[in-house]
Amino acid sequence: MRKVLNIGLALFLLLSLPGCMDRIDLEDATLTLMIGLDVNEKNELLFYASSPVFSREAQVKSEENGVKAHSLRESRQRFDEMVSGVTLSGKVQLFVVGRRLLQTTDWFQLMDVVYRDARFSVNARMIAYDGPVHELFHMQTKAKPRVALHLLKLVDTANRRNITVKTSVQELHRQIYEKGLTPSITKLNKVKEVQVEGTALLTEKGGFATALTGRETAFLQMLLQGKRGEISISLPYPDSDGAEKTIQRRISFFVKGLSKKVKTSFVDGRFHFNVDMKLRVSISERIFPFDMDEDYKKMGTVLEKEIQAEYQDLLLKCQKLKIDPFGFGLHARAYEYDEWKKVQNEWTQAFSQAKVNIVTHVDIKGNGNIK
Amino acid sequence: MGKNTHDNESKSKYREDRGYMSLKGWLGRKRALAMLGKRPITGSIQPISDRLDENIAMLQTIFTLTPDLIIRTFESNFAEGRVALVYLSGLVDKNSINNNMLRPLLNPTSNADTSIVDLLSVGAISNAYDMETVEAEILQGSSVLLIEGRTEACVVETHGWPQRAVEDPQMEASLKGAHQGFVETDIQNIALIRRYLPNRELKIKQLRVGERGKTKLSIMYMEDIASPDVLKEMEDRIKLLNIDAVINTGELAELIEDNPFSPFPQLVTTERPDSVASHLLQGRIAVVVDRSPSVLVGPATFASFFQTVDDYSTRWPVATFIRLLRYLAFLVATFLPAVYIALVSFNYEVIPIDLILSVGESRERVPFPPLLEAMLMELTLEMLREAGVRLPAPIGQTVGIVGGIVIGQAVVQAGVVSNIMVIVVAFTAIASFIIPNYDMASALRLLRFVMMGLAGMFGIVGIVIGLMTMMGHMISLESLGVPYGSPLAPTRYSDWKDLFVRVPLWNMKNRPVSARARQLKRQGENRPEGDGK
Repeated sequence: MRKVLNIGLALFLLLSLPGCMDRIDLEDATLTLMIGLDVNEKNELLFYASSPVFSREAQVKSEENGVKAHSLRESRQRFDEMVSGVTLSGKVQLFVVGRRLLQTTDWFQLMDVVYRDARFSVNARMIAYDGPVHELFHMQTKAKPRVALHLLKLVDTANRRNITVKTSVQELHRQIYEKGLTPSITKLNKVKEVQVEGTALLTEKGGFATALTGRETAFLQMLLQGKRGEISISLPYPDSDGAEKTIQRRISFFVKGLSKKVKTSFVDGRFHFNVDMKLRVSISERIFPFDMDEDYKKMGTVLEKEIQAEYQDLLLKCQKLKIDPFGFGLHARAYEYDEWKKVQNEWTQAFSQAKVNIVTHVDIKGNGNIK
Repeated sequence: MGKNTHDNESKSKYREDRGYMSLKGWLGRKRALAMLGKRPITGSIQPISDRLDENIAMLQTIFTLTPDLIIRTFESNFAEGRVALVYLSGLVDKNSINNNMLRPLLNPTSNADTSIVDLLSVGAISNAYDMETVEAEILQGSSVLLIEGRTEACVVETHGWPQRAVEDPQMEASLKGAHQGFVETDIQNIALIRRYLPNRELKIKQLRVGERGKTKLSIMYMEDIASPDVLKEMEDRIKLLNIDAVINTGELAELIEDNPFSPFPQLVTTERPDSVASHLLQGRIAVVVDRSPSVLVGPATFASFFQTVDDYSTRWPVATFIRLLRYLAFLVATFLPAVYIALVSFNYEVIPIDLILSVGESRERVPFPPLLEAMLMELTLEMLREAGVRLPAPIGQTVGIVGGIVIGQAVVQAGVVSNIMVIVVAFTAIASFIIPNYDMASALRLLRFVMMGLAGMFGIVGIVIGLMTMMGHMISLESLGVPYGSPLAPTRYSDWKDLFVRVPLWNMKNRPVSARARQLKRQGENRPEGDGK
């Protein structure tokens, strides 16, 4: 009995002495909520971190620091030299990359530690900032909550309305390494205040290719994700003497349902994608007189034409820039594997020569509460 | 080689000598010792003499320094000589003695031929032939008539000790159930139970336990339902007791439970007759302990500590909801502070972003690490609770207010603990009050501290270790040889009708298998069909 007791006691004492090594009390931590990467005029890498300040005595509830370093992990060391707590990256919400850095190739390699270190949060949203990142980090005003939280909400709600995409750090990893797809991330810009400015489309390697407006993003999302969140589209209605009028003919609608079929083929040395989209829409705004009872079919055709035109522009733009944010490569791989195999490493090149034909069918299901 | 076997032998002998600790060994040893000792007969049997003087002298030597012993001698027409009435004054019903014994005996008008026994207008009368019995009967509140020239004494049951009236049960208050709780007299308690079960199959086996206390235990069971094996187990365990006295039901439970080192109660103690009746009908066995206002019921399962009588008197969807609430409360009461510690000091990643900011803000001022903070508050809570229990009701409420509002408020303002911690403690307290059984609730109080320690050392991993150990222990535990984890493990799906969900009564056609009833059917087709039929 005594022996058992002794062993038990010894075990208990030994186990409770070390505990777990990685124990860190919340109040001793500096939780990084937003990380920024940028490069200055002298081509030096800049790292920014924004973390909440818990102290009651502090007037400002959030602290922002910027350091020069050569890598993210090195920057952590520099941050630890500045902030009171231990810098932790388990709760990172936003990952911002500045414009100058985006224009360099291979910036994605800097993110290595994010994926290698299991304690890093990979749920952070990827953001491209059109300007120097310090602008973003030092935008704190009294009217807004902590910068990181404000931006987080801004991005998430904008994504709900399909004004921008929501690409997590993990998702970016997939998009970068996926051969049949090029990445797309949220784009922020500062005009008067920081605002969501559509979507940044990146090249295969991650360099900045072009930007989509919020309006275009909705079309991208429809092709990429199908119906997710609220999709509201506003289109001009063709009008012979429209240009002079203050109030022009416009029509807006919700996409209530969406089904698409992509037919993939390989003819004459290039890929053909025939996209057939069926949209069930509900008119939400029509600021010109129109007899819906009589001419709803006509309205449908007009909408179809407009949407097709939008898509045509979008696709042309992307093909010109040799990017494929729509993921047509995935279809190519699925249905034309042999041909895909030959071009998989230069898919964007192959895509730029592909023929994409989008046919839409609009079915007007609703007309709102008034006639 | 030879040396080796020798070593082994000496080792096992050493173990035997030291009484090497193992659970089975513990019970076995207890059993063996009791068999050996068997209960020594103290002194030789002393017959009653036919001379009254000798008997009285004998009684006076037995009962020295006993001022409450009354020996009343008188001449009676119905005996050959003098008669002595002996009793202990506090333990007897004086009305009964005066009106039903003394008056007829002293009344000269009665018929001279009747025997003395026929004169006494008292129900229970028996004869004793030796002084030991006489002594025992006097000590238990009977009065004894010793008659000149007779070698048998007449023992008359005239019990009448101080008693409490039947009141509402204190620990197990019920909204819709009966409002009668057990009292301290076993006869009354048995009567309370029998009122629910006027059935000849309700059998009572009476035993006396305790060399000095001679506590009367009544094992009650339904003969055609209860399992004979379980009954025998219960009886054997009680018979093996060799002890001074059993004062309370809790003592008995501790002496006969299966695993004395388990944190969980393995037998139900209840103060509700309706609850006992329902257990008996399920095939369980009840032990009524004289002088104790609660009754022991076994075999118990873990789930049976989460059931109350009210569950069956409220409508089944409501009862189900409350049942689920209790299991939730079980988890909250056991794990919430531990989870708080684990999250705040190890696994902050899983806290949602908005919450982590408010936790961080409130933790910032606290000078203690989370484990200490939680221990501090939980201990304060336990103290307040104990303080409230021992105080009379009006002051007890004050303690609650002082503790809950004043301390809670002040402690946060002073920055000693975070307000999240106060919320956690309050939740835990409320959750632990929801557990209907006091023993189980107390067990969870203890487990909570164990879990907090583990969480403080190893975070969520520690909690998982604790949970798994607890589960493993629960599965291996038995109550009177019946699995404690039943109907979860071993899985008995038929009993799940009364586990998380309380299905409508008419659907519970069978008794629970977990109680080892030997006759399962308890009702026929009772499904109400409304006006359609």
